[in-house]
Amino acid sequence: MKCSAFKAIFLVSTLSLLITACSSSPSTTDTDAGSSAGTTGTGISNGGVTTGSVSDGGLSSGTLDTSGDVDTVFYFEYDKAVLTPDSLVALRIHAQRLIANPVSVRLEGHADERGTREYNMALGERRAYAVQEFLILQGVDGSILEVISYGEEQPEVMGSNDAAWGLNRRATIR
Amino acid sequence: MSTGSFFKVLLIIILFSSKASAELTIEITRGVDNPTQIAVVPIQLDEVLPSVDISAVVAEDLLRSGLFEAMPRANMLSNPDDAKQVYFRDWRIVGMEYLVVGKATRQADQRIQVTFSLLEVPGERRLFTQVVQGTDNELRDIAHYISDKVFEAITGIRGAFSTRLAYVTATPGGGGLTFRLMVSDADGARERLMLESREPIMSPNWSPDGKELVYVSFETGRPAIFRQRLMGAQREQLTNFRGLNGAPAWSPDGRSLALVLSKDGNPEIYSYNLATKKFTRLTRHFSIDTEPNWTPDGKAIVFTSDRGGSPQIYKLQISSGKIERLTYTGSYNARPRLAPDGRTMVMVHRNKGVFHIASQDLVTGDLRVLTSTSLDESPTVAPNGAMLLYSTKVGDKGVLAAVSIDAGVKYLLPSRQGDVREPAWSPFLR
Amino acid sequence: MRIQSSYSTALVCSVTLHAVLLALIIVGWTPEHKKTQVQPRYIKATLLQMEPSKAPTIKKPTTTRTTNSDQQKKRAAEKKKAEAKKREERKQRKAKKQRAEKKQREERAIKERANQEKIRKQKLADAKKQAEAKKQAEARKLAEAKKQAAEKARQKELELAFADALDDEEQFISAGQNEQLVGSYSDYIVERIANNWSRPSSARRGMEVVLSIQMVPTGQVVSVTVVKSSGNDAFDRSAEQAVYKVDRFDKIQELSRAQPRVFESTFRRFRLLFRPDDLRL
Repeated sequence: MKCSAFKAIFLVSTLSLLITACSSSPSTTDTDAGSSAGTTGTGISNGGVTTGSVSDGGLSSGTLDTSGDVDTVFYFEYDKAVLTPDSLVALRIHAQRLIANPVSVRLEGHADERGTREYNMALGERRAYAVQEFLILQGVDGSILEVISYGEEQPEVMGSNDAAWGLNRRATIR
Repeated sequence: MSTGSFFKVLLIIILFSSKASAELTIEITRGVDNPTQIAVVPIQLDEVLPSVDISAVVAEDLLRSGLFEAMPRANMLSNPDDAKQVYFRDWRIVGMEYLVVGKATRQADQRIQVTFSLLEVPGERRLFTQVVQGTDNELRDIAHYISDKVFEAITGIRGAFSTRLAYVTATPGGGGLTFRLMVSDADGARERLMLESREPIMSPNWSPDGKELVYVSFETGRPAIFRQRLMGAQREQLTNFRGLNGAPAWSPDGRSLALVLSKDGNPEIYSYNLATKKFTRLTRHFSIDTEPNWTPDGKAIVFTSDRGGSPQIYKLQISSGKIERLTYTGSYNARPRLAPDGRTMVMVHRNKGVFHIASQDLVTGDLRVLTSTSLDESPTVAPNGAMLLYSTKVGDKGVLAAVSIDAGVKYLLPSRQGDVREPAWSPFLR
Repeated sequence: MRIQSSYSTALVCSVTLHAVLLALIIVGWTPEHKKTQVQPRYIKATLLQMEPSKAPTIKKPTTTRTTNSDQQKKRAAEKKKAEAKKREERKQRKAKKQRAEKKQREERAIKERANQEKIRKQKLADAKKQAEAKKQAEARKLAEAKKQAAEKARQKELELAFADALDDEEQFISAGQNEQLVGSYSDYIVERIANNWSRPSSARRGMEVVLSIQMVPTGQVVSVTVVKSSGNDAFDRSAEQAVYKVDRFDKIQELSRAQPRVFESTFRRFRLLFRPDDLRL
């Protein structure tokens, strides 16, 4: 029937337009940090730092030593960035290991879903900073520690209840 | 005439003359505010059925604004496509206040031309007739154009039906979440993918010309701010600092972004010039300063800060650097967004532990809670100031909801795949 | 004293006349009969929300399927008997099957016919409905034309009666009663209009629009004009629409019958000032 033929043509043409539109915008994320970057921070002291690797030498290669079931996740109370005594016990062990064997380490801070997203980014960062400050106090070289906040964007547990929230208010070391 | 009769006549005249009366003026000081009853008569194309039901899109637009009730097509007794064919009594009987009729014809150049009229039923008059044209792919745009004109004539407010939304979706799969930055029409149709990533995407924000977005992407392993054109493949990373790179907000003149960096020790607000790529630090305080948003005149920035002990909203005059606090109700007020009138500010407000969207009149200081949902965040105001969208949770799912700026109308948007969050309403696009 | 006497009569007449007139002024004109005060009794009624009656749920008839009961096979001790029986049974089954199939075909044919009948009936009903709707529309048009003619006739009749009444000197009432009457009917007009005035979103406190209204003795509005705009077209139009929606102030008929002079002087032509006090913005 004429009707359906026309409909098919319209559908196909709109779809193809959509597809071309989609394909023209990037759909993968593996653009590496440096390539498409516009110049950052002209006139500002700290230049951009690429992920993961650190510029200074004198490092042993490798990743964080998590043997012996030492905690790598530390939890926090609502709206707080204060480490619990249990966390400090584990962190002392991490500190000793990092002093002995400095590897680059990511300290990732998180928040539960309540509240606004960017403010939670700042909260997550505070929590990661708490870990960083403690490690530095223990004698760890600060330049191997990178603080990254994920705010509420990477919850450990899905759910809108106290239990889930409690598990999402965390900082991790890896 | 004798003196006596003269007096008699005079007396009679005095007694019988009515007092000189001005016309009576009756004052009406109150009314009702019912939704406007409107019938959008099907707009027929005189040949093949178009792929888009124009009058259905118009009716849905008007319904979504919360200010109208559209007559179901099944109840329409007649199908006029022209003002002359309208028999007003038919529509008056069923309580209609307005009528939209129209006719579509295909032109020689294959474009479709729609001639539509808005009629007022109680007064039995035609308010206007207009003509609009478009290709077969632009039928939705034609419909939204009609909605805009009808809306504006009846409410006195410019219609925002021809605008767009940007938002982020998070879909579980493959042991993690896939994040997508999407753009769609204001009614959710014609969804388009802008960016897909296994790492979080946040805080989309529109350029004043509606042609670009800025947003935060974690694709490099840490949060960074990117700029991307809607059309074409142009995309640029703007920041690459340690710490937070977040909450980009385009200035009304299109020349700068306000954004948040914590590279100097704690989150502060900076202004970034898009042409010179220079950063200017705007706040200097050891507290968290984040979520900046420009006032419509571009002279100040409102932002969230916990310098007072808990998150509240402050205003920074750019020229003087002066900062004043704006919110005093409740212990958590964050993520401010100003309506185009510059007088109404919407925000996330915590009341008794529940996060709602609230609006504050910046002149009177009055705060009103607008939503009855909870875990609300990311309010965004339509460019005509009449509606706002925000994200909330239904069950465990993130969905978008809409509420009129005076909290009269509320509804949830149809749910999509995965979690939807962080809606950003585009500016006017025409 | 000749001059005095001629003056004296004139003097006496003049004084008595003045005295009489003075007395009348002091006592005041009292009409012969008491005029009936016509106060409109209008009751503010609030519409109770009526629960929409739930559509009756249609119960679907439960179909019971008859399962074909398996025939029980008897095992014959003797093979031959069994075989014969088997053959016999096979024959029986075949016949039964054929009968069942025939029945099914018949049932299907009946169903088909019933279906066709249903479709035909439905088409007929639809056609009937359309014809009915058309008839109704025409009837309505006719009724409307009739109604308008009747209305016109009634108006004319009232105007004539009205003109007569105006000439009647008994149509005089005190100023105080007059004010009360006007106030009462004004309240009625306010009530009717306020209940129909839907303000547009762009309406703000402080906006004002003035309409000039012309009414005939039946209360029918015959002219609505904006004489002072608010500057906001949507606001102005909402005011006009409120008046159009009322269309006819029924109770005014009572007034124009009982007090045509009051109607004539006050309500034939008056103004409406829309100045909302109840807007939040």
